[in-house]
Amino acid sequence: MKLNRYAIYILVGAIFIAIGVIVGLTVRVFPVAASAEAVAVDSLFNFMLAIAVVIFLIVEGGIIYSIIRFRRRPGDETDGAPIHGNTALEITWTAIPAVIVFVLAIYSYQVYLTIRNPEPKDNEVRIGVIGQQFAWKFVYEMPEDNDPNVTPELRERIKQYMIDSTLYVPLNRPVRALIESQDVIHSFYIPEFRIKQDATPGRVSEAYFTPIEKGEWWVVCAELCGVGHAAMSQINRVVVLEQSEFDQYIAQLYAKAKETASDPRSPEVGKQLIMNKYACGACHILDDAGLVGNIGPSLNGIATRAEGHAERGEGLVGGTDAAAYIRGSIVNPNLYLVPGYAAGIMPQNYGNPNVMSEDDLEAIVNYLLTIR
Amino acid sequence: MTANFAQMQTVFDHEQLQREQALKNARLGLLLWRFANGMAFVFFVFANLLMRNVQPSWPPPGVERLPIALPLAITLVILLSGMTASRTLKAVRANQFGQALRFGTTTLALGAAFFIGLIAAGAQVTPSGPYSSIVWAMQFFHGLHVIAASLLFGIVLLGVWRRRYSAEKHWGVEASVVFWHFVDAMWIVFFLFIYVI
Amino acid sequence: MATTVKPTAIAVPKPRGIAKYLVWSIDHKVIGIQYIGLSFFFFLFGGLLAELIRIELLTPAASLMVDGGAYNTLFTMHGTIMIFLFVVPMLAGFGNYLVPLMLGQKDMAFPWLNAFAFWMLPPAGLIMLAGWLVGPAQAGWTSYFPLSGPQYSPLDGQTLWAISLHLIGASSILGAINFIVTILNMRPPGMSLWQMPLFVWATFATSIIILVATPFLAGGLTLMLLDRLAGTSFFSPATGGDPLLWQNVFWFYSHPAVYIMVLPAMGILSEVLSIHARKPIFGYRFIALSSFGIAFLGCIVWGHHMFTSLASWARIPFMLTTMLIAVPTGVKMFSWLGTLWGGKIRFTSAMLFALGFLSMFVIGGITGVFLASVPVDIHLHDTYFVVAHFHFVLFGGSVFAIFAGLYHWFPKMSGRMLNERLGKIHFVLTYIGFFLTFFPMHFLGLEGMPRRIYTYDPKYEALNALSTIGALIMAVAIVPFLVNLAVSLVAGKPAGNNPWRALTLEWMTSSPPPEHNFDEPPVPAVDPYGYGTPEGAAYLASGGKVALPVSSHAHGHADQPIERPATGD
Repeated sequence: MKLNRYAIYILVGAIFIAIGVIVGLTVRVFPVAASAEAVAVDSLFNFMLAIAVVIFLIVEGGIIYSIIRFRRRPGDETDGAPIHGNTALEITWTAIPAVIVFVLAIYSYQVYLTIRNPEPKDNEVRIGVIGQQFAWKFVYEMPEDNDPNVTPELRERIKQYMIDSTLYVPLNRPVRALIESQDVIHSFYIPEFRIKQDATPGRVSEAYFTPIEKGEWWVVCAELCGVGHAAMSQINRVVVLEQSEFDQYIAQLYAKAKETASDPRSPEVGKQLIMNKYACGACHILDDAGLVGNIGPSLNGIATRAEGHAERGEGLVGGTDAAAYIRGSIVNPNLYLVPGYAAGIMPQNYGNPNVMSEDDLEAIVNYLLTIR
Repeated sequence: MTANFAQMQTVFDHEQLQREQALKNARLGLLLWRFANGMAFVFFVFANLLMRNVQPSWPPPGVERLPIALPLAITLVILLSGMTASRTLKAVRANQFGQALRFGTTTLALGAAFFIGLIAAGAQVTPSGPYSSIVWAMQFFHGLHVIAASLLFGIVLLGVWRRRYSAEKHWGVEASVVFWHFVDAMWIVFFLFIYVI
Repeated sequence: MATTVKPTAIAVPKPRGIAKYLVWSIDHKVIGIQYIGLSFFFFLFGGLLAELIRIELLTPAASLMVDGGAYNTLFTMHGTIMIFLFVVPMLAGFGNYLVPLMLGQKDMAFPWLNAFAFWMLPPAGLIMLAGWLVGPAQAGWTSYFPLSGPQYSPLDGQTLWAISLHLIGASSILGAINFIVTILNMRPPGMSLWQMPLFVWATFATSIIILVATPFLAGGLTLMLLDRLAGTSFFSPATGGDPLLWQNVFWFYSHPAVYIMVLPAMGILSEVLSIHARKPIFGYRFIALSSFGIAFLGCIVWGHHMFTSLASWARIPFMLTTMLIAVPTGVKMFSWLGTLWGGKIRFTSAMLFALGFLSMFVIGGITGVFLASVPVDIHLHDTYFVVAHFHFVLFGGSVFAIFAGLYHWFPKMSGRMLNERLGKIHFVLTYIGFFLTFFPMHFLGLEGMPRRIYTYDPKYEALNALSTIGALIMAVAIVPFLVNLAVSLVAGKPAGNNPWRALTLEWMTSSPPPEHNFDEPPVPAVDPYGYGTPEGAAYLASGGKVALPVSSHAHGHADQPIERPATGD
């Protein structure tokens, strides 16, 4: 009888463990593992899942078994057996979970060491990631340029246009993302890479990943950042390119940046800035630039409306013309509020030249003046 | 007659028992209050340490260290007030109410002097972002407790004046003195973290 | 403090019926029901907000909300209200009602302070709701800076939010002091610490957490208010402050707050399981002590909420302490299973909700270990996996236990039984609705859907729809409960003193108990969980008047050593 009972316990335990192992080996609940780190994290997760399934089955199985086996039969008014405890058993179920969590902690620590790379690597790509309300932008390193006309001062100016709204990364090369925020806390998250790192204003944080799969996915914001938080998860894409395509992209970006630096206030530059640098599309509609945001007022026909505002003297900064109205709406948005829109939703820091340079501001104003 | 007396004795014992129980409860309650209140002071120390941790130096670069003379002086004042507060309790325990009132008013006066000194120490701080913020917040938080302790002590002292307490029954005096000591002790901690460390 | 020692003044005309619950009273039973009633109102209100959230999330595009701000308000208020105005005060209500009764006392140690602590809550609730008048808080219940700072949250609702929480925190600290003094100083003769009901143990551990952690909430809120109103720079990087400071101090309180919401619920569970399985609680001391293990560990794990913002090196120690919490929690789970094993389980509504807790809380516990692991958490942090996890802990755990407690103690509080059939309908609908709402969220999170968004990638639509259906089922589920409450209050079957034939002291007086609780000093059972023992039977038969010492002979399986609770001093 006694032997029998233990035999049953062992048999049930073996079945539970078998189910756990099968689940751990077969179930895939994650999106595609597109980075080397994702592979390590997924194996850790599945290892934990196997153990979790066994524990889950023991507890739920115990509950279901008790409910059936130890239910009160009709007419039975007696009490259960007066068992107050079993010290050996209690020590066992204290010790076994303790051992399990130590194993999990050690394994987790091992995986963590492989997915964080504090030491710079020779072949790594460094990309700046800047969070703002309500989009990401990505800053790329400048390629070498032997052109004697490019003075260090000009290079400094070109640098500020090495920026894009899409994150391009080369395949099979480690990427070090240097993450900052312009306003509130955002969280840089690419589910397919299993990486997430808060963009905390006032400090530069780092994230590391090595893309191993070609593809295109969303760059998500995982930390509540205000009215447009939801929109921010469906604005920026990450695109994994072959090394050659990536080099080509950087060259193009650099050529364009060089061109922009020579005529930084042209309307064409303004359009690029609106689309790629300042995330205006997170909140505004503008057909000409393909912006589809729905948080702030539409920018279609803004030049015509700006003239009206200028005549009425509403929200003007640095002049009395239509340009002054547009400038005012950017650097001091609370000065005049479009009816139906609340104060404080438009970023309040575009008046800071470190956030939006004088050149960029004028380029954007010049561009918007063409939107009739 | 005897039965009646025994009955009275029981009633008396019962009341005595209840009073003792109430006193025991109140003592433990005050101890727990000091613990929780003390955790709030620990909070400010914790915040202070975390704020230092993100600065290259403390005070942050470009910010002057605060002068220590005035804070040191008011620290001595509040220590002294702790001593006079203890003497107040001692006097009440000895049924010497005149003496208790003298020590009590001295304590309150020292408390007021400390409070004025605290405000003056606050005025010595120039606005400098995080550094001045935490210094002011700590001074403000401690100042609130000085006010609370003084109010409590003042009300109790009024009771002493009206002979509400006796050597046997003086929980109010005891509680206000214990709280006064608590506020003293917390200032020493704050003094160390604001001015010394 | 001094005032509480004075004899309490007695109001001249005593309000009766419902009216006595609407005015100042120092009777712990009235106060307990006031807590329960107030928090139940907020439960319904917070639930309404949750339903709006789920209806918005039925489809990927915006449907109900005009903009993200309105949605941000919804989940901010839902979270804040459910935590601070529902679960915490609800469990404090159970504590207030039950602890003095379970200890055979007339009242709490400081009855006046008890009433004072309660009456801080209605103003706190009103201040919280007043947010809607001035522009409500939108920064989430975590209110991270700088989003909650004056620049990005200019509306005054955020300030009211902080003031309201300040009041609730103060109320909670005063309540905790009262509980600890009552438990330590006011046990009846014949009841050692090791003979206290486990609910009392749980309240004791919870009160200690409150004393350690809640002052940090008060401090953090003070700094938040100074930043918002006095222009200091603690948290805003624009003026040299540090946003992580807020996260540290906030989680130093708010993680232990989880145990403030779970430990008393576990205490309720220990009572209900043992009584309705008619079997002694398994491993009494292990359960009692594990509460303290959880309380201690709970205060040193706050960093796991910051695995994506904390310095790299600091993540590892927090991972370890967090994982260790699984150990005392596991002890409780297995001990409850041991309690069921060999019992004679009665499927009352209270027991069904307790079993619901057991079967759902284990999922929340297991997913907690996943989230404790830094590499896994980096992926899952701030996704729907986290939402699923904490709802399995707080709904699958605390709320199920609260319902179990309501079904279990309603007869004591009202003198009437709740209808069992309606109770079972309530349970089945809640159980199905709960599982359907929150289980799919695990997969949404694993897929990478972030929290706190009102429009989402269409690939998440199917699981979201499932979740919304579950939420609607839960909304329906509350109806039988409300009907049950209303009908049973006037027409329920009279309960009698001890309808469950329980051994703890709250059942050794009439239902509802008289104002002074016990007509004569009660005699506690030597073993409060001695079901199935002759001593327990004799104690019940005598109506709680004769407590025999526990004899030394053993029952049960011959191959298992028997451990008994200490017989006390």
